[in-house]
Amino acid sequence: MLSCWESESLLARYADAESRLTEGVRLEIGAHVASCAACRASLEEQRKVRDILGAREPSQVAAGFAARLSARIDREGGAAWLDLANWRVWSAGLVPLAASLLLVAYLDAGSSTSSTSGEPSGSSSSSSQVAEASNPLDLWPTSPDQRASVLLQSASNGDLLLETILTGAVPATSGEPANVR
Amino acid sequence: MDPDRDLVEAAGRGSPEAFEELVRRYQGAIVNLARAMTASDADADDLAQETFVRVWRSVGKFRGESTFKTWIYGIALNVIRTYRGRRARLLQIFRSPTIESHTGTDPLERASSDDGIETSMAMRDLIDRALATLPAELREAVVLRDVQGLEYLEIAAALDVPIGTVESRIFRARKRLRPLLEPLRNK
Repeated sequence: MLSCWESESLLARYADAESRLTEGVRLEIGAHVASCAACRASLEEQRKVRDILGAREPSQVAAGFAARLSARIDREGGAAWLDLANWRVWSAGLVPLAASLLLVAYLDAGSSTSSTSGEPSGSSSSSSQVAEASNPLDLWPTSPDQRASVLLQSASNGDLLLETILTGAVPATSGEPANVR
Repeated sequence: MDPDRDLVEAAGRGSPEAFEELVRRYQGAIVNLARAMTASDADADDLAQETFVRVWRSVGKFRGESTFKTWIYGIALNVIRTYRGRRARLLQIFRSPTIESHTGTDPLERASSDDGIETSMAMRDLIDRALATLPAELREAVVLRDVQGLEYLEIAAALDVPIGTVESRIFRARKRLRPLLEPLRNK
């Protein structure tokens, strides 16, 4: 049998018919309340206050609440601020830059290996050279200007860039903008 | 499963549309919470605005360890506590008789004689003034339960306290409110 003190701590939830009270606890409180006038009165009190508060008319949202909020966020530089505070936004924007830097670093490492081996390197587009080369990167242009030309020209065309790397062929400069196929 | 999860993730990626939808979903609840906690329409509006500004700033860092609902309630309660702390300090400094009379010891008697209790708005005013007499921790718990309709587990999450503490606070809050709400019992 529960004591009054033990029962009190559960009376609020019991009054609310909280579904999370186990059946055993519910039965114990019920038995205690049936035999204790003070706790019965307390339970009634809990229910009455709950009903009064539950009948309270909700406050209305003032007209223009969302518009004022939007203006305030804009005034505080909401979008720009959020972009700086939110790593997901700005880190996503850095992905292309990071990829380009990794690629350049990787290609530099490849050409260093090539030059130390004493093999000739250049910008030939011959497919036989590709077949003979043990590493396609051996065919990557050694000149920084040529590399920059390839990267810049292919910046908006992933397929072309990949093909250039794999074949070692520097795309011909056609005079077209890089983003036009 | 958090019903707001998709919206929260989109808002976290910077989508204004997703954030606007979250505002639409929760503005009523947050304004109502702030009104019940402060007994002031003007303060409730300001505090709800501040809550959503903070949500906007930090939604990108929300990790989904709780539901968005309990998270935003937690933010709102922090905003309200900060406001109340600042207001209490100002009251100590200025000792304004006008403000003191607003939160005096017998608000219900004054409200029932001045305002009447015929309308639901007057009843709400009486209830909010009664709530204002409670210590903050009791008021928060009973408002979240009886005014906002949160489950006990949600209240425990929003207040970051054990569920037994929530039960005890609600019990004590209702016990203290009963005599203050006596004029409304038969309305």
